[in-house]
Amino acid sequence: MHIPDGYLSLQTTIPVLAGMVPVWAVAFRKVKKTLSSKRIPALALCAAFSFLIMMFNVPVAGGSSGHAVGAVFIAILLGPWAATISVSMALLIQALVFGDGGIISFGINCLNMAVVMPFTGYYLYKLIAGKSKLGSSRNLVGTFIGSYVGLNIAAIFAGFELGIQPLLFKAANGTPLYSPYPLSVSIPSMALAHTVFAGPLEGIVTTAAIAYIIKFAPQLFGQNQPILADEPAVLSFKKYKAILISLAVLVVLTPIGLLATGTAWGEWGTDEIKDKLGYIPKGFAAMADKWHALIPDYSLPALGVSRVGTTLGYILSAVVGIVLISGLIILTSKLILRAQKGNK
Amino acid sequence: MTEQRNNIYSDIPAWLLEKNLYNDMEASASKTHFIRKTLKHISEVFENELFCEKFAGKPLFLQSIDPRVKLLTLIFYMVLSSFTSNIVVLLILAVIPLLYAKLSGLELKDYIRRSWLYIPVLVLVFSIPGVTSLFVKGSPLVTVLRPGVMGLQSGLYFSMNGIEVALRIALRAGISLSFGFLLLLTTRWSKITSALALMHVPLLFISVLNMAYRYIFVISAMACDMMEARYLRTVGKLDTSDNRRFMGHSVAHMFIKSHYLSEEIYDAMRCRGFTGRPVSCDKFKVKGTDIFFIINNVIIVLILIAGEHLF
Repeated sequence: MHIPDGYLSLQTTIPVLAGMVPVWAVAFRKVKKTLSSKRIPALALCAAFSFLIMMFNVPVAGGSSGHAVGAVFIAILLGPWAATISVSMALLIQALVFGDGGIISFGINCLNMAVVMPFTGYYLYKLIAGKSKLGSSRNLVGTFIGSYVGLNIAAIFAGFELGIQPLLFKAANGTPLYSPYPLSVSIPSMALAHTVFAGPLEGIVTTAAIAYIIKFAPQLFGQNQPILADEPAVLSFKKYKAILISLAVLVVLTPIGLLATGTAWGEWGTDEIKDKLGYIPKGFAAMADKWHALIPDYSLPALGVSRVGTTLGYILSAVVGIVLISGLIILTSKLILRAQKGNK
Repeated sequence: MTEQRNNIYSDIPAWLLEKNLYNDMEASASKTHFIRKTLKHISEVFENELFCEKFAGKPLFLQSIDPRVKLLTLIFYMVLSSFTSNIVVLLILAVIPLLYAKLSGLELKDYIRRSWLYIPVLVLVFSIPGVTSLFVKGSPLVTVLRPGVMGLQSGLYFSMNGIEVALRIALRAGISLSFGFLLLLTTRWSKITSALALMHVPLLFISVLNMAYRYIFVISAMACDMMEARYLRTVGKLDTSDNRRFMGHSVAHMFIKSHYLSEEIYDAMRCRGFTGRPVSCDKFKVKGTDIFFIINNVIIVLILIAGEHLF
């Protein structure tokens, strides 16, 4: 379910990432109350632990194997907010260090696996288990169903996020710019894979693990009841101001891409700008004229307008671009290394 | 000659001469393979860290850039790759990290294997059914099924548009991974997180992240020992349900262990004067070379944007 970069548009990923910031802020505040000042090592170990769960290979069926996410497991033991933080941290380390799940789609992956999954799973578990005794069959059935359904809802969320891409983000000729599968394909395929394979696996592992803890370390349950916090809460807006403002700017900017249904973002010609804004910004018109002067008709006339000609034009321009940029990078490297030596 | 060899072998019991049934090649057929797979996954965590450490410490090109500048620049390139839908610009964006990697002393073969040969290939394969004429229309380029065959009125074909869609997704995935690995391979983890701290990410978050990263290795070693012990004591085949139970119990046991570990760590921190409020001692200063680096990258981005407008 780790969505890599490339499938989702920035107009989806950035707003979700921005939306995750207050969620994390609230999660930290909630966890502060329950874990008191022990929270730093406890949360860190929890994050390391949830990273490790995703390393454990569990046999599914017919020799294949998969891994559990473990978000509902942590949610049952430490509460859903702690699960949000630890799974998010594990996902961040996975994305940065192992390339599992994209960096730009980090927010989306967190929404699915660190928010949707622990919360739905946890509350479903609470609903079914009720006030039943720990380790009773009702309690364990609740654990199984909670983790099974939690994972599946997360998968359906992922399917939905992938499925809206071809509806919203298309080039002028109707070609999808990001994931090509529509909702009618993405949701059923994600749901099928998770109801049949990954879901039962998650359920069995979570239930076995909870049953083990009830047997050998029952004192670990019920630690998520609030304990008085040992330090005054800082107003969260103040703390997260810098990130919130920069993300807000990004969010405000992203709809510009949404407007551009005709062409990809930043590819507007003067006519399209006129259509959208009702007028052509003066500076833009002047710029456009200059470009025309530089390379008339946006193509290399010497190569002709045939298919081969335009293809050659593409290749030639790519080569010129690469040579130009390579030169710049090599030059920078040389000069920086020289400066480095000079300092020593 | 053959006889002599047979004589030598006759002294060795037959079962020692048999081919090992549980070698890696047959891992999928063996019933204990999942323990080995888990062991392999966990040891990859260590391998990866050693690999990164090898390059991040060298005094070369990207290693000497301020981590904040580097972080923002590389993320900007990733965002740019998400914005553009121009294949030429995407191809150029794919070449840039390779150049940076080469100039920063990374082994290109390994770098390309990590960033391009796994996830982008998977992404490409998964998007192939999605870019046929069923989902993406256009003029046919490669026909798979002629019109009318299998009840498909217009047949099944790949159009230029469809192929471009698949390429675009795979290229974006690869570009994002290349820049991500570039950051990791040229910057120590502690520097990445202190750069984040200086960019006003709350210290609480940073200190949890830093500790989590370090303790991943501690509890990975613990899990490794556990798996090894079990693996060495496993004879013959195990039931799938036994396997699952074992994995479930391992997860629970790791949780209990890490829980007690966290309490001990907290006590140790308290003994050393931890007040519950993390502090950072890192200070970075943007140097002339960093500004030069920024200017050059701005020029590169401008060239790319110009390219985007021209084609």
